Order: sequence, then C-alpha cells, then structure tokens
Amino acid sequence: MAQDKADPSKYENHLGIPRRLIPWYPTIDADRCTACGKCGEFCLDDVYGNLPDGSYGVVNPYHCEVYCSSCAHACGVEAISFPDRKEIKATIKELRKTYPPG
Amino acid sequence: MTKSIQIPKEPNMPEYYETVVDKFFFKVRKDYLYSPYDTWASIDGDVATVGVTDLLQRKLGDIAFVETEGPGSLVEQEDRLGALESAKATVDLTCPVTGEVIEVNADLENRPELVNESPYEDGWLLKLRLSDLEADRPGLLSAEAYFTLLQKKANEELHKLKGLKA
Repeated sequence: MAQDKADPSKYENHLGIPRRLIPWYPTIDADRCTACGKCGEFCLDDVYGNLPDGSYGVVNPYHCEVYCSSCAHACGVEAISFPDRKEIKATIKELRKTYPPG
Repeated sequence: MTKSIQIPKEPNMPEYYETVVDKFFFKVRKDYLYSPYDTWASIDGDVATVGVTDLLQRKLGDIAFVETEGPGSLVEQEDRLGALESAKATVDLTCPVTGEVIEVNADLENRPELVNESPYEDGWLLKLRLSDLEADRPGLLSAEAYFTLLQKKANEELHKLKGLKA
C-alpha cells in the first residue's frame, strides 16, 4: 500500500512565490539542543531528520510551512528560533513585485 | 394531488462554499474575507471578528488550548495573533487584518472545542478595531479565492489531514 507522503514538488512555491526565496525556516541552538527529537515528531512537513554528521536537525528547510512554528512550541528547551515575522512579511511583499498573485 | 410546500429560507442563514477532498468535508463562509494563512475576518463597520478556517481546525484535530493576544494589543496583518494547541501540534496563527484587540472569546477557555465544532461562528477568536482595512486589502482574499486555495492546499496536504508524516 502506497504511503501517503507529500510530493516534494508541493513545497516548491509559497502562494506563487518560489519557496527558496523566502528565508523562513527553523534554526537550532546547538548549545541548548538535547537531540530529543520532539521537533521532528511534531513536524508534518519532513523538515527534520538525520544530518550527514550523524546529528539530528533541519534537513529540508524549505519544506517548512511559513509562520507555522509548531517545532518551536514542541521543543522543551527553547532551542528553536525563527526569523522575525515582520522581516518575512516585508520580503514577501518585495517578492510580490516579481511574482504577483494569481 | 399533493400541494408542494415552499419552505421559506430562514433569514440570515449563512451561506458556504463546500467541497469534499478525499474523505474530508470543508466549508468556507461566503460573506467573510480571508488571509492565505487559513484565518478569516468578518467585517462589521470598523470592527473585525477573526478566526480560523475549517481547513486549519481540521489539520490540527481536537484543539485543547487557545492562546491569543489580549485586549489593547495592536496586531498587524500577518502578525501572530495567537496559537492553537492540539495533540498533533501547536500552530501560530496569522492575523488577516490590522487592528487593536477589543475582545477575546472567553468561551474558548473552557470550551476550546468550539473552534473545531464551529470555526466560523461560535469558535471566533478575537474582535479587533480596524486600523486601516483598505491598506490591508492587498493581503486579503475573497471567499471565492480562498475556497480555490483551500482546495489546492487540502489536496496537497492530505498527508497532514490524515496525520501521517510527510
């Protein structure tokens, strides 16, 4: 039976704007992180996974749903931070000039 | 010969766009405005009532806790207006309009499930005194435009609705 997985191409754009142009993704403070895995447990977009060096962290930053922040809420040691929403809003507004909606 | 009876339409009954995606039924209230981040605004003069859409409440599952900005707070369009917590996740909510919070839905403290049961009516989150609705318009979608977006998102996010990992 085929597993219900998100088609990666679905993450390519955010409301008509190429997703990679929007710098919204979680950043992990390595000093605080205990590698408990709660972030990955609560993320439904496959953002988290095993990194090449064997540690656990962000593997698909642009799968992250803009403004979601579920992982930051799930983290028990406040190791996860996100960019300022106002900056992201301004970036999206600027990108709209090149990528109008519709 | 039986006489057909015209059942009068109850006045002031809300109308919805409706769709089924996979096994999930969604509705979108026709007389509201929407942000692309699954929140709605109902405008009455210079007051906007805001809440979350059917798609967002369904993605989260049973909501256990509601947190919002309090009265007196200024929330701009696309700012965080609060968060909804369920067993699946705690998601931040994106405000559809700019304004000052004048009322919070006190019923949600004891009955957070109202957001699941009645996302467009009894499950409203905040009332805001609008700052400048016209300035917010470029960031708002009509009900019809949001309905199109909802169908696209629901199809793309079936894995989330079913609670499976991506």
